[in-house]
Amino acid sequence: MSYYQLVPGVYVEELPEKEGKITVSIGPQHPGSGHFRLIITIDGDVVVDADPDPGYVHRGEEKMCETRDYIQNIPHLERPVVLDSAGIQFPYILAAEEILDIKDKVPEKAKYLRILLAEFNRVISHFYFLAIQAIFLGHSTVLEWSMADREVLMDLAAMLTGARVTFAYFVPGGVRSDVPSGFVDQTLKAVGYLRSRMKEYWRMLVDNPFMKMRMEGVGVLKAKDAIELGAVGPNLRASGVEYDIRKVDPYSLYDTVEFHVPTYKEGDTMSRIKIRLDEINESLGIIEQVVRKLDGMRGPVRHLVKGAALRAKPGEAYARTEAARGMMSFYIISDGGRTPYRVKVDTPSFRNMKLIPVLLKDVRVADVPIVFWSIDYWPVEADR
Amino acid sequence: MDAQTKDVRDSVSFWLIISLVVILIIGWVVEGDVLIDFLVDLVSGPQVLTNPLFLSIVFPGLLYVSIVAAVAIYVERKIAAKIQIRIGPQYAGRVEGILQVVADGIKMAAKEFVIPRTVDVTFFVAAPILSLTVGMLSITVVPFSPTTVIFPFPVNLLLFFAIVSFFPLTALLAGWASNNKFSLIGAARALFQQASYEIPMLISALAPALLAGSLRIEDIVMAQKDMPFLFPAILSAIIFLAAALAETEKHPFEIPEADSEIVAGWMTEYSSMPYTLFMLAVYVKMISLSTLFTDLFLSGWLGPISLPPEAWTVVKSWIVLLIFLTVRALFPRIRIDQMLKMGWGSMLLLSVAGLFLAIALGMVVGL
Amino acid sequence: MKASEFLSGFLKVVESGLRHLVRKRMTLRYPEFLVVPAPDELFGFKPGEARDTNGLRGRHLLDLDRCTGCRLCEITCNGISGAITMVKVEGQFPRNKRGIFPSIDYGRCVFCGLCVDACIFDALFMTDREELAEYDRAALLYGPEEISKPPKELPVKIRAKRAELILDERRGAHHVQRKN
Repeated sequence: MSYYQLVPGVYVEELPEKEGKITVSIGPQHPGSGHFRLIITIDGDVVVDADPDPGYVHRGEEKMCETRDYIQNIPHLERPVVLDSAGIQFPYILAAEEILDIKDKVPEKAKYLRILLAEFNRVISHFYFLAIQAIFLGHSTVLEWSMADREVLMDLAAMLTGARVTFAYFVPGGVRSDVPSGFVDQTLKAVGYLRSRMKEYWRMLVDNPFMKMRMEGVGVLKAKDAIELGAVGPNLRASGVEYDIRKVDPYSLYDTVEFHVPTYKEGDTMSRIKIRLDEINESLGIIEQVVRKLDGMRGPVRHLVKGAALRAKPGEAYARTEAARGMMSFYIISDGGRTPYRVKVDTPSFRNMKLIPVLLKDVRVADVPIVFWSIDYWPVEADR
Repeated sequence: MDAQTKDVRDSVSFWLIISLVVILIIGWVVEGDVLIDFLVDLVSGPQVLTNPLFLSIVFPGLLYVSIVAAVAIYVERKIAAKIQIRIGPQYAGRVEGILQVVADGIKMAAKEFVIPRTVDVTFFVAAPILSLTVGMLSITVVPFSPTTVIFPFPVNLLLFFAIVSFFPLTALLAGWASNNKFSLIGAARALFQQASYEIPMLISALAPALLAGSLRIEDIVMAQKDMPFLFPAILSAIIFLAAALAETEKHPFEIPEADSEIVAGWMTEYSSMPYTLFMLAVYVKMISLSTLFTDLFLSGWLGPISLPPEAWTVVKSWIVLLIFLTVRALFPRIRIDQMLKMGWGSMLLLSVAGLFLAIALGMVVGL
Repeated sequence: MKASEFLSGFLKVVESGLRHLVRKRMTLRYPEFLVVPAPDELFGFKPGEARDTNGLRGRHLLDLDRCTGCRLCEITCNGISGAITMVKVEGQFPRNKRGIFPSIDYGRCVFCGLCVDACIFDALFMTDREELAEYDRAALLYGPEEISKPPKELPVKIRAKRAELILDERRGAHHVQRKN
């Protein structure tokens, strides 16, 4: 296995040919996600070596954080992970609140609203995952279904926050707006509707005999490998390791809602599909509980921080959450100024990138797209 | 005019093919008294229905096949859209996009036929024409009624398979002439797929032939007076349908055109009208296969109530066609090695088993 | 894979597919119909309750009589997208002696709405108008006079009817025209 064998000035086409093996460059123009290149060496129809080549969509988010204050950082941090924008906001806001020392002043209602939006986003992100996985398999029906059912929750999110994708909803001290009228009823209806839809997804994706032919036993990740390589999120749990930040290190008010963490033993492509279907169901359960708690709850949603109080004391803060793709964490250092001194973002896609060479080994070329996408790798998120 | 276009028009072989086709058509029409016979029949009433010129141009020839192909494309898109909870074609023709196929046809005809610099021009241009020709030939031997068959032939079941086995060759011709890796891989896949699925299809088509004791499709249909062969030869019928899906490159056997792997397979380099001809050829093949299925297993033009025999054939073949069109939205594409394993393994075994099952059941019911 | 497993899975898929043939279609026919999920309310900041009102974050609306030209929105936007610049407007404004007001470049705006949060004088709002496409980039630069007027009605030809999403578990989700 060779990590990042390429150096500037050396092109894949010029690499020496290893006896009868061909080197193929997939990408960097959009091999199904953002810009990202996959260099695979094939022997006949079988991949012997796969080498991810990231960095095409690096935006310098961490450096950008250093020149903006704690509120101005909100919109641009959403951009790398637009499909899961609440997922990346959550750890940032938790870390920022810790360093601004307003952690205890966040109202309870705001904490529940944060959980609500994060779970909305988890479902939205998983639906997008299913859509692209289906189109890689040549199955356009699940693509259209997922894209349509995403819409239900995106409309609800727009009702709550005012935007469909980039919510900019979490702020240090709480959330920006309250529950609108009619929101609770519509959300409960949506939960019921999506639950009935999940049965159809299970039929089309898991019971489908041709799906089984394509995905069972393909791209297997063993539990030992998954732990050693530092896999996070659904990919880790699909290999049989029960590890979810919401359970092992509860943040916000996740310890007051009931849910269980689904796991599968097989660790193949099919189990990574199944785990996401199960997680959507669990998320719908959390949404239902949270919405019932929010119904009739009074009180403020935001502890308003005045401009002067946005100046943090020197120190450091760390927060981690379970985003849709896995563990997302922020580490903020402040030197007492208006802006952070240093922000380190750790994204699940970056951690999961190390799985690509292991998973793609001994896989047929026709299966490369589905195995690659099954870990839900998002280049923009990994490059930040 | 750019250099490439000039190349095509100057190419001697291109004009040779075109003039050959034109001469053949003119010669066939003018030779003998085909045209005069047609005019005589036309004024004499229903006799025109069995006139060879009418058969080949109107029904069940060119006009019928083109209309059914156009309707099938529209219905396929609408069914897929309905299963996928979306609308599908909507604007052309005001009502539910009913003229979408016409609009697409005009659009395709208006586009430039791009001939890449590196292709073998003669075969690149000839492949789509040949493909449609093979498709149209396959419809000539399938009887719609004892009299409605363009080319009556004593062993037309065998002739049908002989014609259909030319399809992979046109795909290979297109892929090879394109001089493109994706095209060549797609063409090789098409060759593998269609060659390996012809055998189970032929074996399962033998079951009704054995039950009827004839290789002539008309005889096979007449032998189904008491009971359609679907019941004794149920396994053969299923295998025939599955193999026909593979032959027409529909899901789950859409492997030669796998768009997430090899762009558009052997059709990658094609655009404009030649691309349309390929698409039309695939649909014509689908129509002739579904009509053959109707004749072999669903008792063809025989029906419980008295209708014109052709009407029964058309109605039944549409039911079969709808199965073809619906399956597309339900299954993903399988892998090439799985497809070959299935074709030479379980499908072949099942088709032989279906043959014996059909004979045994046929003895039981006393056919 | 066992034959029974194959067959039962096959039948399940076919059953699911055929059931969808009688379900309603979910597609929103966009140019004719439009879903505005948020309540008909302007998105604005309520300093007293420390929260925003619920509304879609679209084109801004500026109250010229309340704006004091304090530049808080400009300062906020500078770190985000740099869409807001202050420009001088001719005329007498009792609360705004210098006569400077924000102008917004919608070629740059990201519609985060943090400028609305920053406005402590209750002068800046956001409307639900999201269709802002223009042929010319310069036309996306809205001056104070333009954003102080409510968005114009779209031409009749493309004016959308309001629709809402009905979530019906049995017959499928579909859009219907909203009453009132």
